[in-house]
Amino acid sequence: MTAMAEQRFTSKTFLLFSGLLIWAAHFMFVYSANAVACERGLQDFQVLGIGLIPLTVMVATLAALAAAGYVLLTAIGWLGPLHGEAHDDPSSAFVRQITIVLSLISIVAITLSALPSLVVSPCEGLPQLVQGR
Amino acid sequence: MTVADDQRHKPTAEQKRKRTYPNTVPRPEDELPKLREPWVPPQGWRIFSAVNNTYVGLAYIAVGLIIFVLAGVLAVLMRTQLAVPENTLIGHTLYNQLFTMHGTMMMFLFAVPIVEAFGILLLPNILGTRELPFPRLSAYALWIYTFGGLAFFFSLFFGIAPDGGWFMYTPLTDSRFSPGVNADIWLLGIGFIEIAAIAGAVEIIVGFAKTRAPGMSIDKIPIFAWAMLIFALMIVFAFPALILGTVLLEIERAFGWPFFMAEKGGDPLLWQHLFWFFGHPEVYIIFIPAAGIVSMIIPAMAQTPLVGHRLVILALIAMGVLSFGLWVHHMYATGLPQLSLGFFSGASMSVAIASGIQVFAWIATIASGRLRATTPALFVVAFLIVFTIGGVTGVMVASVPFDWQVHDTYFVVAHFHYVLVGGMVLPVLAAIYYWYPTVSRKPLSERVGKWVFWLFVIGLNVAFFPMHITGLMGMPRRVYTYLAVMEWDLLNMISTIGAYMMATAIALLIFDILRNFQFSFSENVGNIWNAGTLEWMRTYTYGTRSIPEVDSRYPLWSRPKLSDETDEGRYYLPGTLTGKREALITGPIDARPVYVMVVPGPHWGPFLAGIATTLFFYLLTFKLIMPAIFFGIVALGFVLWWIWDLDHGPLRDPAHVGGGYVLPVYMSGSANHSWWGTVSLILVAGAFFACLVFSYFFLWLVNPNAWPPAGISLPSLVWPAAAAALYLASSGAIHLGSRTLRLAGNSNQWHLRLLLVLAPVLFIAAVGVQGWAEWQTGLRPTDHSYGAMVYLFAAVQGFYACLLLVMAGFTVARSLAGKLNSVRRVTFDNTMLLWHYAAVQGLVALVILSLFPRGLG
Repeated sequence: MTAMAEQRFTSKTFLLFSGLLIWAAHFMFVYSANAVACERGLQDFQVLGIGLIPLTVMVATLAALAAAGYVLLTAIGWLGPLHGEAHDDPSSAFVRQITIVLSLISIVAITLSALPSLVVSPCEGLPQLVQGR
Repeated sequence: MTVADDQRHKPTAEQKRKRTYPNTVPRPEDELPKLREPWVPPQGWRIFSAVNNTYVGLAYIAVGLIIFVLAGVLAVLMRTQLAVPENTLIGHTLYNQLFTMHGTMMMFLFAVPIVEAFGILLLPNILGTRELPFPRLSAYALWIYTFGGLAFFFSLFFGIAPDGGWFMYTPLTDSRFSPGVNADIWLLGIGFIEIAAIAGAVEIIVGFAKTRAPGMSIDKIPIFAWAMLIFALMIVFAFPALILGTVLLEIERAFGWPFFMAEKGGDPLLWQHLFWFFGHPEVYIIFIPAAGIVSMIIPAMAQTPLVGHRLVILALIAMGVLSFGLWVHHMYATGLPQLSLGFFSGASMSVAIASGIQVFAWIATIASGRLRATTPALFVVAFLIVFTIGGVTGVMVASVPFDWQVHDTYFVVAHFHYVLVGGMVLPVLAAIYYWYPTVSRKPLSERVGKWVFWLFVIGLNVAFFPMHITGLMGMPRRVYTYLAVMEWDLLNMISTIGAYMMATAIALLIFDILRNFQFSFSENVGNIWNAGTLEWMRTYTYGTRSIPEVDSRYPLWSRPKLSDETDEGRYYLPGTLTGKREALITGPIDARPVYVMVVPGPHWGPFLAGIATTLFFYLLTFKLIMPAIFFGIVALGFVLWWIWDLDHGPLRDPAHVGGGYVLPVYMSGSANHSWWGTVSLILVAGAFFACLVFSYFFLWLVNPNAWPPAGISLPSLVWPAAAAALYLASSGAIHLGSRTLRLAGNSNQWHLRLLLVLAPVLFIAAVGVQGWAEWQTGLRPTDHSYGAMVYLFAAVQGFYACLLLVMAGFTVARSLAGKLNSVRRVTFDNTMLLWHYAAVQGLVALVILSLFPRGLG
C-alpha cells in the first residue's frame, strides 16, 4: 500500500467510526464519573444550585454532541471536501453515507444515555430502595 | 514506498473503456496442471496436516455440530429431570455440572466456533480469493478447539466438570467454596476457545481487508463478509476482558492473590464487570454473523437484491459498537447506583434502533421479491418471528424495575433461549441447508428439511414459551427439582415435550446430512438457488480457476456467464507465478491488486502444536506444572517450526497477473498481510491492557484510604524512572536495529544481532527493576488487592519479556541462516511492532503505578 493510500484508508476508517467512538468515550466518562462520585460521597455536592453529578453529565453530553455534530457536518461536506477524495468514487460516497447515518445514531445514543440523569437520583441503588430510604 | 510501487502498471484508459478481460484465451496448456499441483490436498493420514480453508472450515463445522449435539443431550437430560416434580433421576451435583456444561459448551464451544467455521469455509469464495492469509493459523485454531473442546466435555464422565454456572460468579467459584478442579477445568478449558477465537478473528480481519477480488471495493462487499468483519473486531475487543477475568480468577485460586476476595480488598463485582464486558458483546458476537447469514439467504430466496444494503451494514457496525455499552444490564440486581443502570438502559434502547433497521430491511426485501418456501427460507422466516419475540422480552428485562422482579427466574431462561436459539441456531440451520450444495454432490432433502423445520420450530416454542410463565410464577433458574405444591409441573412437562421435539428434529437433520453427504467442491450440486454472490461459482481446491473481477454486489446476477469466463482463465492470476499456492492481495478500500501472496501449504506444525497446547492446558489444570511447561515449550517449538518458512522473500521478479498488472510476489511494511495480522494482535493486547487498567481503578475505587494499604510505602521514584529508561533503551535498540538492517542489507549483520540480544536484556531488566523495587517496600501480592494488582502489572510485562525474547531469538536465528535482509524483513518488522507496543505499555503501567497513588496522597 502506498503512503497516500494508507493515509486515505486510515482517515476514512477513523471518520467512519468517530461518531461511535465519541459515544463510547462519553459513555465511559459519565459512567466512571458517576461511579467515582457516588463511591466517594459527592452526590450532595452542588455547583450553581445544580448537583455536581447531573451537571457533569450535562457538560459531557453537550461536548459529546458538539463533537458528533462536527463529524456529521464533516461527512455531509459542509466543512469542505474530505482529504484527497474524488467525488465520483463510489467507495468514497459509500463511506460518506455510512458516516452520516452512524453519527446520527451516535447523537441519538448519546442523548438516550444522558436522559436518565435528568430524572433519576444518581446514587441510590437497590439496597437503599429495599430499605425504603 | 516499496519496490513494487515503481513496477506496478495500472490498466490503461482504453482497457477500462472497452470491456476487455484481464487475460486472453486460450490459456497455455500447462498452466492449469501447474496451478493445480501445489493445491493437491495431502492424502491418507496426512490429511491431518492439511491447512486449506475448505478442509479446515468443513472439519470445523463438523466438530461444531458434534459439540452442539453433545450440549443438546445435556439439555435433554436436564429437561427429563425437570419433567416431574421431586424427580430423583439426576442429583444436584450432576445437575450443577449439566447446566454449567450446557451453557458453556453452547456459548463458547458451539456458537462462536461454528460461525467462525462458516467464515473460514465460505469467506474465501465469497470474497473471490483462493485462500485467506493465515491458513496454518486457522488449522491450529481448529485442532486446539477440537482436542480442547472434546476433552472439556469428557470431564463430565470423571465428575470433574465445571459446576459454577456458565458465568462462574465469584465467590462461589473461588478456592474456598469450589476447592476441586472443576472450576479450573472451566478457567483453563476456556483458554482454548480464547486462543482459537482470536486466531480466527485475525484471519478474518486481514482476509476481509486484503484478499478481496479485484473490483470488490468497499461498497460492493457482500453483507456476510461485513458481518464476519464486525464479528472478528468484536472478538478482538471483547475476548481480552474474559481472558483477564479467567487469568485473575485462576491466579487467585492457585496462588491466593486476592482480586475478588472482599476481606483482602478484592471485589466479586470485578468478576461480573469483566465477565459481562465480554459476555454481553458475546451475544452480538454470535448474533451478527447469523444476521449476515440471513442477509445472504433472503435475497437469494426472494431473487432480489437486499433492500437498504448500506443501512444493514451501518446497523451491523452500530450494533457491534453499541453492544459494548450494555454489559451492566446483566447486573441490575447487584446494587449499583440507579443512574449507572440508567446509562445502560439508554444504551440498550439505542441498540434496538440498529437491530430494528435490519429487521425492516429484511421484511422489505421479502416484500419486494417473491420468497420461495424452501427449507432455508422457512428457517429465516421463523428466525424473524422467534428473534423478535426474544427481542421484545429483551426490552422488558432491559427495563430495571421489571428485571428486578424476574431476575434469576425461568423468565430470563425463556428470554435468552428465544434470542439465542431464534437469533443464532435458526440462521445456522438455514445456513446448513442453504450452503450445503457448495460442498456436496447431493443437496439435503427438502422433504426431510420440512420435517426438521416444523419439529424444531414448534418444539422450541413448546419448550421455551411456557418458561415465561413458570418464571413469572417464581420458579428460579438452576434448581435440580421442585415441589409438587408449587404447581409448576404441567408447564415443566410441556417444556420437556418441546425439548424432545427439538432433539428429534436435530437427529433427523444429522441423519439427512450423513445420508446425502458426498464431499466435493468441483462437482458440487451448484447454484441451485440461483444466488448472486461469488461462492456459487465453480470452485476447486484452489478456489476459482482465475480470480474474477467484480463490478456489482451480486456479480452472478449482473454477469451470468462469470463462472464460465472465470473457468476459462480469462481473469486474474489464472496460473501460478512461483509454482506454489498463491492468492492475490488487494487494497483495503478499492480492492486494486497490490501483490501476489505465496500461501502457506500443508504442514504438521498446526496439528502437533494443537496436541501440545491441549496437554499444556490440561496438565496445568491438574497442577502438574513441570510437564505443563514442557508441553508449552513443545507447542511453541511447533509454532516456530511452521512459521520458519513463511517469510520467503521475493521468490521471483514481478510478473503479469492480467489486466496490465505486473505484481511482485513479496512486499514488506504495511502492505504485507502479516503486518496487518500483527496490528490485529496488538489491538487484542491493547484491549487486554485497558481491562487491566480498568481493574486497577475499580479496586482503587472500592478501597478508599487503602491504596496502598496502611503500612505500605511506595518505592522511590528513582526506580520507576530507571525502569522507564530501560524500556526506552530497549525500544531504541530495536529502532536502531531497523536502521542497521536497512543499511547493512545482506552483508554484515553482527550489529543487528548484537542489538537483538541487547534489547531483550534491557526489557527484562526494566521488568526486574520494577518488581524488585516494589518487593523492597515489603509489598506482597497475597496480602491485599493493591499488591496483587501491582505484581500483576509486572507479571504481564514479564510475559511480554518472554515473548519478545523468543521473537528476538527467532529473528537472530533467521539472520544467522541468511533469511533476513533489507528486503526480506517481515520477521523483523513484526518483532519491532510488538516491541514498541510492549515498551509503551510498560511505560503507561509505570506512570499509573508510580504517580496515581501519589496524586491521591
